[in-house]
Amino acid sequence: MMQWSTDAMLLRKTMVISVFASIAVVLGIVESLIPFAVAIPGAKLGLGNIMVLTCLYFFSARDSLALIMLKTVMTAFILGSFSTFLFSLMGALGSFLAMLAMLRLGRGRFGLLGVSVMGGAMHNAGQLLAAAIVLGTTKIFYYFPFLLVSGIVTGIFVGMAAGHLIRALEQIDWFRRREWASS
Amino acid sequence: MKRGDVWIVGVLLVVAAGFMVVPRLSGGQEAVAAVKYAEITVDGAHYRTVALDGADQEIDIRTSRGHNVLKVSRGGIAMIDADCPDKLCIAMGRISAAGGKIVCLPHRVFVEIVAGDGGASGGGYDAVVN
Repeated sequence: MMQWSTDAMLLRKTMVISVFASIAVVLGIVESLIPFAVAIPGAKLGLGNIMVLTCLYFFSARDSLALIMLKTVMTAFILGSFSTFLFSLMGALGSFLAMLAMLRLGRGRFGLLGVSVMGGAMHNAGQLLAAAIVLGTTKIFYYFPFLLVSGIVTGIFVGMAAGHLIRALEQIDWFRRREWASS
Repeated sequence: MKRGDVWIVGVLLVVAAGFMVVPRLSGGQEAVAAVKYAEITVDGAHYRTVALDGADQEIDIRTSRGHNVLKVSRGGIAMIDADCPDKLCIAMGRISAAGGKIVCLPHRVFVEIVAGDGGASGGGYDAVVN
């Protein structure tokens, strides 16, 4: 009986994470249709980060990492941007590590906004690092401040959106009970 | 917004300001230079150096990764065509001041304007790899 209920819970959790990942992919596609990068080339809204942040809030680091890998690989497949796959991956991992550290080690000192802003900043740092390795020059870091400032603005927006989503999801009994945390 | 959040934003803004200011203090590239050159780097290796004050010209860069077209005109340079997926290099527009840069990441093309003698030294902060 106990075994059965754990399995059902795991299945449900896997399903929820898959849904999160697919939403993140769709948000990535929507984002690619918005000509936001005109003002600052290379800047991104980072809408997919809404799902990563929500996943980190509810589930474990491993689950969130799975979500990020799914999101990055799927987005590269759909948008056909394999030439920039390495940059996306480095950015996503940098952002993930920063947000994870702030949520788990920050002991509640940081709200979703701060976590999201830091995630956005580290996303840009990771991408630039990958670019510096590929191009063999650190000169492209001249671009960092522009990306950083735009990352702060979009990070605040993403953090607010994730906050709304988390509050809405907590209306659902299953998210509030957090059975997965005890098993 | 928690206090920690305000700190994060504050610290990041300071870092951004630092990245803006430091190259300007250490590099002497703001000096009025008579000649400007565009250094073109492809895939980490030097590709070509062109004088920007000469005649207008278009530079075709064809590599296994793709195709880029640079246009030199009136002391500046711009990416006017590229078959990369994001076209960010074209969005970066025309650059004309020393220190200006255009990057096409998918094709690993890097253009930087340097002042002086053909840009042998790279003339700026951190001329590690040219």
